[in-house]
Order: sequence, then structure tokens, then C-alpha cells
Amino acid sequence: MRRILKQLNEAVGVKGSLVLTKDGIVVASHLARQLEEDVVAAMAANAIRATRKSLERHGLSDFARFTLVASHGKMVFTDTGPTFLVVVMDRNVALGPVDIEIESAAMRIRNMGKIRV
Amino acid sequence: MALVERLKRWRDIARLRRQVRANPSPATYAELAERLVALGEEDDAVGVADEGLERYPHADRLAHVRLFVKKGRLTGQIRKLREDLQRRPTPLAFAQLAQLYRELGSHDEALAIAAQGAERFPLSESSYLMQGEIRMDRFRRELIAKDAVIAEGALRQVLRLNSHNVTAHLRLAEVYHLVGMRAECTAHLREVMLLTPDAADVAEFLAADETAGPALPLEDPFEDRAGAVQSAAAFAGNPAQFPSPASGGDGPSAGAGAALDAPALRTAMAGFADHEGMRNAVLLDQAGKIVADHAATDAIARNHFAELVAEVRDAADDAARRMDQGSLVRADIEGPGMNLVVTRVRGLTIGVHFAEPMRADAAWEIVQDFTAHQLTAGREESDA
Repeated sequence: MRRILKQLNEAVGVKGSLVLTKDGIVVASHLARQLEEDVVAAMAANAIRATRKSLERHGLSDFARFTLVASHGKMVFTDTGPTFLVVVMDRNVALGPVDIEIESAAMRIRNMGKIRV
Repeated sequence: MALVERLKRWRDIARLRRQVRANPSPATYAELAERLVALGEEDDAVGVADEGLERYPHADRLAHVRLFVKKGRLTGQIRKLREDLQRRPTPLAFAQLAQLYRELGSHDEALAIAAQGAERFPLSESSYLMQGEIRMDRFRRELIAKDAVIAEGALRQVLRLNSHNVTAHLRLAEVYHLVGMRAECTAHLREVMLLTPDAADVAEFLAADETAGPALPLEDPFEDRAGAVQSAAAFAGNPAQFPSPASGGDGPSAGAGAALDAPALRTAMAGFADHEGMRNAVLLDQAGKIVADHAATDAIARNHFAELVAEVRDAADDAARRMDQGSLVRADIEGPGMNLVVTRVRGLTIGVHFAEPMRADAAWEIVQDFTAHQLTAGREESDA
């Protein structure tokens, strides 16, 4: 899994990525120096949990992908079965080309089936 | 031949300009700006991109055009400085490189380089000053407490290394002014007066401050004051009153106080019904109240949708801020059979819920058009 993340991080503009279980435990991570793993994991898990809860409460289905564009960065949370793939990117990166890399990484993680910690 | 070619290009540009006037949208602005770049008219291209971004602040394509032109201009300097840093690193080269990235708007890159500079040359003030200034830029624009706290720490470090650094005194005074710590603000401004006795605007500010009575030191820590600014989404001290505003001081991104033309917004949002697949749309004001909305027959109840949009906005904004990625611009949620887009423009929140045959890029265009035609116009009217 780390190899998949390392490869994903080679895409232009990707600052880091990690794989989280749905209750927020980090399975694997590969983050740039300026990103703190604990903070990214905790905040991503919190955003995913809160959003899923809100969607459920209002009768909507669970999400497959959540893209967050902020003033200094972009983040994509992708459902990969028992886990979520979290990718943190530069604000100026065009999402289109990176999307292909993210989808490819997500598919490979999904195909890994079960998590080996 | 060259004349014919020039004429063709001129007609093409004129056609694109007409298209922008007749049908302004992120796409028409971007097409014109990109064509101008291709023709080497970079100043014009940046002008068009800036004009487009004024109307469509979240248009990525326009932001890319502007960045492309700026990068093109600065690439040579960046390459040279990077080579210098490889060969013979100096605190000045780190600071200059960080400044170039700051100009490009790549704050993360600039902060990372400044951090490297500080690590390599811990006794040089320039990297700390750069970190302090970038964080101040961000605090002024987005009112995020973490930026203020880091700025204050970095600026204090500058003064530990060189207590005569006027810029650091001035920026520290500014951050204290913005969080409402008058005593600390005036203390640093007095230092500025000692170092540069001719600073008339600072002297004026101090004189005006004295008339307001004695400034007593506050007991609550700086972090709490900065946190209060973030919670209230408003500075404790008026940024416009502060002397010598910094170059990055283009004010907070939230358009607090702009009057809204609610009936016009409701009419415009009712027009969302014309788009097949659009189920819900809502515009929330800064207090979270519904200003305008639209709900199709198979949609979520209006109050529930407003609640959902506010919850998604808060969760996404909180995550972005705590991850040090700035504040929320846009959140896209894709699920089986539904999509949700939540964005924030000038302190207002817009949310749309849609399904097939509506595509995500089409929904985003609709939201951007609504923003440009309704919110920008409303703001201009209120400013007039």
C-alpha cells in the first residue's frame, strides 16, 4: 500500500496521501514534511465521519468521493471499501490529470481486498 | 502576409471580446485570456483573467492563466536562485526564493523554503520574517487563528534576533491591533517611532489611540484573542485604521456587511428549476439563514437541505483550517445517484444538490454564473 501511495505522490502537485480505516486509524501514509500525519488523519476522519452522518440523516446515500478545495490546498477523500484514500494537493494543481492517478490508486487499494497492518 | 495574419488574429480577439461581453462566463473569459497568452499579449491576458476572477472568484481556469503568465515571468529567477542555493546557500537566497513563490501565490512552497532557510540559518532573521509576513497575509485575508499564532511566533523570533527590525515591530503591532491587544500594539508602534521618527502615519495612529484612553494589557493569551477573531469572523481592530498597510493586505475574503437583494436572489434561484436534474439549491447568509432557495418536487425539504449544506460547509471548513490548508472554497460530494456542491463566496454559502442528467461541471457553471450575476452586482449596488 505504501508503494501505491509513493507512486501517487509522484504526480505533479500531490503533497501527500494516506489510507485510513473508517474509524480513523492510519493504515499507510506518505506525506510531505510540512504535513503532520496525526493532524491530517484526524481531520480527514472527522470530515468524512461528519459528512457521512449528515448525508445519512437527510436521507442521502453515502458518498464515493469528497473533493475539498480550500484557499491553500485541495484534498480528495475516496471510498476504497473498508478504507478511505486521502490525497492532499497543491491549490494550483489542475484536478483533471491528478484524478486519473487518484482513481488508479483507489482501484488498486480496493483490489487489495483486506487490510494487512 | 504578416499584415493579413495580424488582421486575422485581431479579428479573432475582437470576436472573443464580444463573446465575453455578450455572454460572460468563466469559459468565455478563459478562452479570451488563453488566446491572448498564445499571442504573447501577456499583460492583456492577466488583465482579462483578473477581470474574470473578480466576477468568478473560484474559476480555476482563469487562476491557471494568471499563474501561467506569472510563472513564465519568474521561472528564470526561480531557476537561478535554486542553483544558487545548491551551490552556495545564503539566508538572502532562501528569502528571495520564498518571496518569488509568495508572489506566485504558492504560499505552501514559500513557507517550506522559509522553513528550510530558518533551519539552515537559525541566526538569520530573514526566513522568520518571511514566515511572519506570509502568515500575516493569510490572517488578513482569512482570519484563521493558526496563521495569527504562527505569525506572532515568527515575528517575535525576528525581534529576538534583531530588536531593531522595523518591519517586524510594525507587523507585530498590526497583528496585536487586529486581535484587539491595544497595549501590545502601541508598545511595538512606539519602538517603530524610536527607530524611524519620521513615520507620520504611525505617529498619527498613536495620537488617535491616546485619545481613546489608556490601553491596559489584557489577561487572556494571544491564542485566545486570535481564536475569538476566527470565531467571530471579524477583526477586533479595524484593519483600515492601521498605519502602513502591508502589500498583501487585500482584506478579508468574507464580504461582511454587503447588502443583499433578497427578492432578486430568490427570482434568480427559482431559475435553477429550468435545469434538468437540479433538485435543491440554497443560499445562506452569514448567520446561516436562508436567503433564497429552490426545491424540486423530488428534493430534500428546504430546511433539511439548508441544514445539510451548513453541516457540510462547517465540517469541510474545519478540516481545511486545521490541516493548515486555508479556508473552504468549495466542497464536491459525489455518491451513487446524487451530487452535492457547497461553496462559499464573500461570506455567503451556496449549496446545490443534483443528479443525472446534470453533470458536475454544468452545475458548477450554474453556481458560478449565479455568483457573478447576483452576488457581484448586489455588492456593487450596496457599495454605490
